[in-house]
Formats: sequence, structure tokens, C-alpha cells
Amino acid sequence: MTHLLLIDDDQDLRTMLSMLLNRENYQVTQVSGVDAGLQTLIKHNDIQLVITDIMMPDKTGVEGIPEILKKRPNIKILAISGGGRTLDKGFSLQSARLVGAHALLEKPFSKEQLLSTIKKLLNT
Amino acid sequence: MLQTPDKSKDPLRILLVEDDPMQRYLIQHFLAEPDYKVFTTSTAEEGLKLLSLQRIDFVLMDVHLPGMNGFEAVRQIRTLDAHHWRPIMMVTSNDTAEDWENATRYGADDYLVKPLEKHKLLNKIHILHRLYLAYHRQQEDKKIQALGHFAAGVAHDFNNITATISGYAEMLQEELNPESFSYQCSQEIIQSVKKARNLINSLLLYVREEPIDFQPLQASLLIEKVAQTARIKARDKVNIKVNIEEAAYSTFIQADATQIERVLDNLVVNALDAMPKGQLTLGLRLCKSTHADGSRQLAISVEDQGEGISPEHLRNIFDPFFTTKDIGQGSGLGLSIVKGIIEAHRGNINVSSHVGLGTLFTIFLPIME
Repeated sequence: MTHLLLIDDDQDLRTMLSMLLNRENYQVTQVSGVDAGLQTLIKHNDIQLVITDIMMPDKTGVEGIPEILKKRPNIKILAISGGGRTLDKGFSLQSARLVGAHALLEKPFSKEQLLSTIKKLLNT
Repeated sequence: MLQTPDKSKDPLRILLVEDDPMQRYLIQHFLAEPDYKVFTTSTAEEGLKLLSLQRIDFVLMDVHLPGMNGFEAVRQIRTLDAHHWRPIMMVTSNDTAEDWENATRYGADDYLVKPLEKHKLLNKIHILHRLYLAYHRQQEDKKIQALGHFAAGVAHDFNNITATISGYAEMLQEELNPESFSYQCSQEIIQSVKKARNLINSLLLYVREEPIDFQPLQASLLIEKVAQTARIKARDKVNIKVNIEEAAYSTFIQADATQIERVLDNLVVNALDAMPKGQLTLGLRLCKSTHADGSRQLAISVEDQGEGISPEHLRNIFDPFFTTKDIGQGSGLGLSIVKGIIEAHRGNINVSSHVGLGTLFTIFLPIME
């Protein structure tokens, strides 16, 4: 079973996404912030893909993505964003791409968009 | 409560505190112009009371008064105005270093020595008033920025919530027979979430103080680009025609290409919505500006052969939240955003329409000579 890491500070969204991905036969570990995500990556070296929010209170995804890639250069990263408190969605996602995210999705996205993006990333 | 002066066309409301009837009369006489409305009191105590009852934009304060003196009165006004500023000018017959220093220390913005001369008084009032207007414009800008910041925060949380709702609805659908009523209901949930997302995005566009990235822009190229997008949107149903005047072809404007493109796309989408078939014409021509200097401007037009807009709707068409579409179909923010963007480019936008014949939007933008 493919193991994914989900980083998002919104607990409701995290619960929903985990449930949705479980039903598609992915194993999901979910955490609420970048630092917890980095800890999880040390513990579970079978994680192949990280789905991370951008605008989070302690550390943003834009700060987090380079740290994740430093630890795990071959891991795939999907950045998701619902727009920032000061930045717009497009801008925060572009920033995520600049620091190394492999794919970007704007919230709210459809199940199909999410699943096809994950599949594409895992096959490259 | 913050008392905001209403633009520069209103008379400036001045409080004059002066105990000498002769001086009071003289200053009132100097200020007997439509630009000023003068309220007078002969003591500082009365003056302070009046400040709490009337909107006052400007204070003229004598120094030597019976009871509370002018310096103390100025200090009290500054305490009263903890969160905003209004100009205070002191007037005295004492041209001493001590009084000048005190005026500054107690918070006055300027100081005039009697005997007063009309032109000096008016000149100083004028300068301080100009600062006052600039100060208020800045306060307004700050309010808009704060609103934008707030809206961005709401949008972020809102998008998380809509993503959660539609995610659950989609999972629900998997369990359901597409023919069933329950499936239809989940489909409606997903559709409504899409509308909510569009609404919050339009709202963000409206309140966001997006800095305009002014660059030289060849308008004709942008129009051709917009026409291409329009052709894709129109499929074969509507014929898209581009009409660029030769003289206007290589004319440049100072503009934010992304924002002007957004404006034109918005007008094109509206036009296509209004006409199931027919012709949509995008035009570009040079014309004289309304300025007396004889400068020229570019006119960009979007003309449809749709159903037209009735005169009573036409009046409100640029108001935020005005829409004729069904609830959920349009947020009504489109044209108010269009107008805002054009005005930020120092241009303007006109509309004319005939019911049954079609609608013509014309955007005027200053050109780079």
C-alpha cells in the first residue's frame, strides 16, 4: 500500500482527505504542521508522497517544502492552498512551485483532480 | 467616533475660539467665503463643548482667554483626538519665543501673530487643510487594506470548509446509485460548493488592493489575444470580429496587462451570456480625450448583439452586488471590479444599450505619447 503524508492545519479537511485516500487504498499519516511532518518522515521511510498545505500558522509550506526535500530528495510533493491571509492562492502556489513542489492544487479541488494528480506524481 | 470630512468640496468647518469681539469679527470677515463655515466661541470651555457637538475640521485658537487658556485647550483637544488628527492653529498678539515654544509643545500645528492679514491667514489654513485631506485619504486606504486582509483570512478558512464539504459529498456519491434521489442531492451539494467558491473569489478580487504593475502595453495585441480566447468560449455559435483602426494598431498604453485582460474577458463573458448567436465585435480606435490639452486616448469597445439592458438596470450596472442573473448564477461583482480596474488606470468606462439590439461597452485609456 502506498504511504502518503498529509500536512494541513485544518483538522476537518485532514480527516476528510485521509478518509477519502484510505478508501482509494492509500495509507495516510496525517499531521497538523511542517515540524510534525518532518518527524514523521524520519519514522516512516516508506512515505513516497507528501501533500502539504501552504498557509499554516507555525511554518508555511513554502518554508517546509525545502526542508522536506533536504531530508528526502526523492520524495514527491503536492502543494494545496486555499489562499492566504495576505497572499492570493495563485501566488502562494507559485511560490510553492519555486521552492520545489511537483504539483499544485487550489482548494477546493475535486476528488478526481486529487486522485489523478497523486497518480501522475507517483508514476514519474 | 471618527468624524470624516466629506471630500474637498464641502466647506471647511472651522472652530474659532476668540474672546475679543473685534478680533472675532475680523477673522469671521476674512473667512466669509463659501469654502468656510465658521463656528465661534469666546471661551476655551465653550469651544471644547462645541467640538463634541459639531463636526469640526479645523481649530483656530486664541492664546489668552478668560478661564482656560489656549495652550491648555489645545492639549485637551489632542487628548480628545487620541486616534485621529485635525489641524490646530493658534493666534496671539504675543510674538515671544516662549509662546511659540508653548504652541508647539502643547500640540498646535501652526502659530499666527496679530494683527492678522487675510492672505496670510487663508494661505496657512489652506496648507494645513491640504495636509488634513491627505491624512484622511490615507486613513481611508488603511481601512480598505484592513478589510482586504480580513477578507483574505475568511477566504482561506472558507476554502478549507468548502473543500471538506465537497470531499464528503463526493465520497457519499460513490455509495449511491446515480439514478437515486440521494445521488441528486449530493450532486446539488457539490454544485452549491462551486458557487460558494466562485463568490468568495470574486469578493477577494473586489477588496484586494492589488498593486497595479504598470508596463507599456500594445493594446492591439491584447485585443487579439482576448478575441482568441473568446472564439474558444463562443464555439461556433457567436462570430467574433476584431476591428482595429490602423492608427491605433501600434499604440501603447501604460497598463497592467493581466488586469486589463481580466476586464476584457469579463466583458466578453457577459456579452456571450447575453447572446445565443450573432456577432461580438472587439474594437480599438484612437480618439481625442476630454482633457483641454487635446491629448489622445484609446477607445476599446466590446459590442454584442444580445438582448440589451433596460435603462433602469443600466443605471446601476457598475454597482457592487448588482446583478440580473438568478441567485447563485452571478455574484454581481464583475462590472464593479471592471470599473475599479479601469479607474485605477486613470481611464473610464461607458455603456450604452438598446433592448433587443445589443450592448456596447467602451473603455477609454490614456495613451503613451
